[in-house]
Amino acid sequence: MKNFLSVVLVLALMLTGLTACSQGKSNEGELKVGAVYPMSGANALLGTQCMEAVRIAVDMINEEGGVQGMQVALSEADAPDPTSAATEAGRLVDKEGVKMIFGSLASGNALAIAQVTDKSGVCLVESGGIADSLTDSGFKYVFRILDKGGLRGAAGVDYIAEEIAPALGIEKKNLKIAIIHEDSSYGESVANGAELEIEKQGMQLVAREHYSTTVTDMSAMVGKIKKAKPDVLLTVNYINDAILLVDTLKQHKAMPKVFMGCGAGTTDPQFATTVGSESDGFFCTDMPTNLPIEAFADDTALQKTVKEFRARFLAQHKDLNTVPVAAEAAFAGAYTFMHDVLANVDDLNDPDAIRAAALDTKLDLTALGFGWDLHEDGQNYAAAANINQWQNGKVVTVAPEKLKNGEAINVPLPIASY
Amino acid sequence: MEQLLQAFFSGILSGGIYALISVGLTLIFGVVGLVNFAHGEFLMLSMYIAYWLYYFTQLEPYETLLINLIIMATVGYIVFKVIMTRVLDADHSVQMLLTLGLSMVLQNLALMLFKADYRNVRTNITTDVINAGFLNLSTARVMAFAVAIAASVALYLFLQKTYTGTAMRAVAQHGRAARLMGINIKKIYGQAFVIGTVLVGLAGVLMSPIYAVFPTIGSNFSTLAFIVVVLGGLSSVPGAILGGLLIGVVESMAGYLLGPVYQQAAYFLLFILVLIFKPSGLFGRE
Amino acid sequence: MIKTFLKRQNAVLWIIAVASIALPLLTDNRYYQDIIIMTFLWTGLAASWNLYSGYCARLSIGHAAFLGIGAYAAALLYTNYGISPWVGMIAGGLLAGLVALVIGGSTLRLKGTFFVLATIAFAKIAETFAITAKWITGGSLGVLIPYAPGFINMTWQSKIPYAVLAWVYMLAILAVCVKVEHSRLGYFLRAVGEDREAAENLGVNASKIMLTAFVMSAVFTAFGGSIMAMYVMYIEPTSLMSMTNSVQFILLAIAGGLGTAFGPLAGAYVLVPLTNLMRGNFPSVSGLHGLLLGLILIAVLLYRSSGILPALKGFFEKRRKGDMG
Repeated sequence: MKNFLSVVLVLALMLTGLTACSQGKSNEGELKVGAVYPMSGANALLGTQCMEAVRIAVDMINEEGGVQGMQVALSEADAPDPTSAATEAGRLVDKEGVKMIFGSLASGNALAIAQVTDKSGVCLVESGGIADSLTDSGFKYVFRILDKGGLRGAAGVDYIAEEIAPALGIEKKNLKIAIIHEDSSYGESVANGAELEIEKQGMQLVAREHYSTTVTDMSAMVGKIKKAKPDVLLTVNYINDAILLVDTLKQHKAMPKVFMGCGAGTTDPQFATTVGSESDGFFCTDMPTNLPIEAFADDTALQKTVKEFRARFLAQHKDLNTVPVAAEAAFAGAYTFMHDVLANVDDLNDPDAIRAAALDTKLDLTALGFGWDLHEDGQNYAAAANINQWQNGKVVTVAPEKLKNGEAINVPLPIASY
Repeated sequence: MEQLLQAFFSGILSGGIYALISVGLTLIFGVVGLVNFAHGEFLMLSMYIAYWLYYFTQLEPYETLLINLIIMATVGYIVFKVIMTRVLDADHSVQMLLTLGLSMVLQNLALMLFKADYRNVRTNITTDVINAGFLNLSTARVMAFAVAIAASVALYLFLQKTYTGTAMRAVAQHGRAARLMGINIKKIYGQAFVIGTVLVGLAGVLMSPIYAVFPTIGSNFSTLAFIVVVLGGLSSVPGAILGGLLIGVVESMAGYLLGPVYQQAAYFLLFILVLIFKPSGLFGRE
Repeated sequence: MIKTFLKRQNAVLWIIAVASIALPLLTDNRYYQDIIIMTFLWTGLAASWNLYSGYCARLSIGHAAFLGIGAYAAALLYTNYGISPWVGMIAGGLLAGLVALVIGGSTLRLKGTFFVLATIAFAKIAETFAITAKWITGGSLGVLIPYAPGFINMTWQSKIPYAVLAWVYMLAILAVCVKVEHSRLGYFLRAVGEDREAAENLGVNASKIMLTAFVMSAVFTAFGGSIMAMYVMYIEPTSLMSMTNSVQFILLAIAGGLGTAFGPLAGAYVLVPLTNLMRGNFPSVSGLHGLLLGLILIAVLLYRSSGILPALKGFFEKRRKGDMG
């Protein structure tokens, strides 16, 4: 009998699901947008912060009067892995009827979402995933507002070649670089770009190691690095492993002269608070982040926006003193797209019109500190990585020239072991 | 060569921690016959307790050790009473799946309550180093190693020398016979479960200055602990200690010689080979 | 009396399984179609797992590896060499069968717990391989499958053909399971599961029986993996071969009832839509659906009789092993 009951239950469940279909149609005068971030699973920390940032962006747009007079309604989705990202993107597109999706932090999720949205003519505005393949695979409605992984790795290496080698007094062709990266698509794509550029610049790559973020002991890997004696260590990490790496380098007296982080972990505010004053001089190549508010002086409206966002975000995070870069990027992507691109779209229901507007819009400055210049592949070529450095617990931008607000210090690092 | 030795000793130090985690598991596995997949989540719990005590009182985890262990003992007791007693007679698969469910619940509860943030206990000891010749050994790890080995030895002596310990061994060897000898099996089971939980709690305290705590940290260690237990020959405490050290060294050497990404694969491979060729465990009786 | 009831129960479940194909046609909403496709797919996958682990009571927590083998075979052959995914699916099945033969063969003698741990280790090794062997698998960047609709490419614009494919897959596996259940293989499997030594004493070739079932289980899982890869159109190693995925197999089969052909159907039909709806409706409460799944697992195990198909009864009979020496 229980069997029959359960069967009835199953049917009932599926039927209620189906009847719920008719709901979720958009109201007149409301623009539906979605956001997909990993809010459970291994990337939950950054994913949740990104979602908060997008919420703030939507609130601010609505307070300013919405998009073309329409209020924006945000549908959220949690996607710990690519398969659920595809399902959840499908829900936003087909059930909630969103016109665009902001996402998605993890490159794997971004690729899975793009496979869904692109077919449905829904735009994906990506401000987190940096795997090259996202804009190299011929997707039509994918717009990436930040730099590509390959370019970021290359940017770090270029700075090493142009500024660090002379500062160390080592000839470029004699400069030894080692790469350590976490082995998800994020670390992999940045490291690949860096490796290519090292070859191009004619410098020496003496070691390349990768590890899984669940690593609990890095001493063996650090041993290999110590043996290779690089002048510069280029790393791509998330936060927990970045801290473990620095601790282990110190303990094993394997700290190289220069530590060049490339994003995420080494730019996270928690990195400096945890490592402490010894973080002074650590480089972190990343999207421009936490630019001093004066950097936006030319555009007072934008300056106000950035100020407002930071204040609102930090009000929710009393324990932080700066906004994590991933969250700032998520905000900038969502806000710029709604504020600057959508304003120029004739028909918000037509994805081709949105695409045309996204490509036609040219901005010199966005909330992220760089401009907006999308090419046919959907990649923002005005996006470039900044070279930042930790100084007194704050991120100081030391390159490029027009965004810099300080000079590099501590090259070589005072805590260098050799 | 120096680096090779360094890798070896780093492995030994990690191995000490693995040993301590595994000793608790061995006891539960050996005596209660319970395969506890939630062991890693108990570790996480203890690390969170250490973190929150540190956060609110600024006391080092070592200083709040006792409070932590008392909480862990209570948790162990409640879990045993409420859940485990119901499946003591069930098949291994049922027990295993039940603890798997428990681990999912604890992990996701931690995610809901504490969020996914990485929480660090940073005290002076975190980055302290002991230099022995060319070797650089992290003070926190040396400390953890020493306490872990001491605790494991203490457990061994407890099992050998005390009445309760002897009763536990008797139950481990032959439950029914032990019952006939007038041993209160349920009580012994409960004691073993609580002691096992306290031991993993101790491991959590020792690890909290070394690793950040986050909801999924337990899963990094629980399969590892199982492997150690099997290598050690199941219910043997010395076996678990040796197994822990071995895994630590294998992991570290594989990381040094092959690359970090092979660390886990190396000991999993070793484990499968041992299972195939010597299923009673490396240090177990035939 | 009981037999006729069982027969009728199976008939009802057959009708439900066959009639479910109407579901994706009843709605034109692609999200619900997606959930239905995933439900079909996971029914087939859980049934494949059940074929071995359910009947002979040896849990595999490593089936995500076979899922991965199938997914990678189809995706790589198609993306890199333009070979039709249908061929890739067969290739993936063969490869998974081969791997299962080696893994299954070498772990035959292992007792319950050891076998479980061996399967976990196996999945971990497979995952490491997929991440490190970049020249074959593309490493952690994963494989992005190009979109070129056509039957030969197993790619369609509409979701209906996917639903039909997943439905056929599910029915085929269920049919095999029902067939096995009433065959010598099925009886022997259950006999081995209940008491291996006794079965062997009665002349059952336990090794051969177990190996056959394990290989079948792996091959069917790989088929499902190929379909899943072609459906999602993107695969990457860490999530595909994760422990979470391996546990999913178990969860669905257990919730529905181990070792019955239709248990996985019941489990998947309830849990797959449920978890998706949970995630969809409460995205900001992270961990909620994981918590729920854990609680369901605990509840089903503690109160076995109220499992969705109360078939655990008599299956995990009170057998306590005294092999802890």
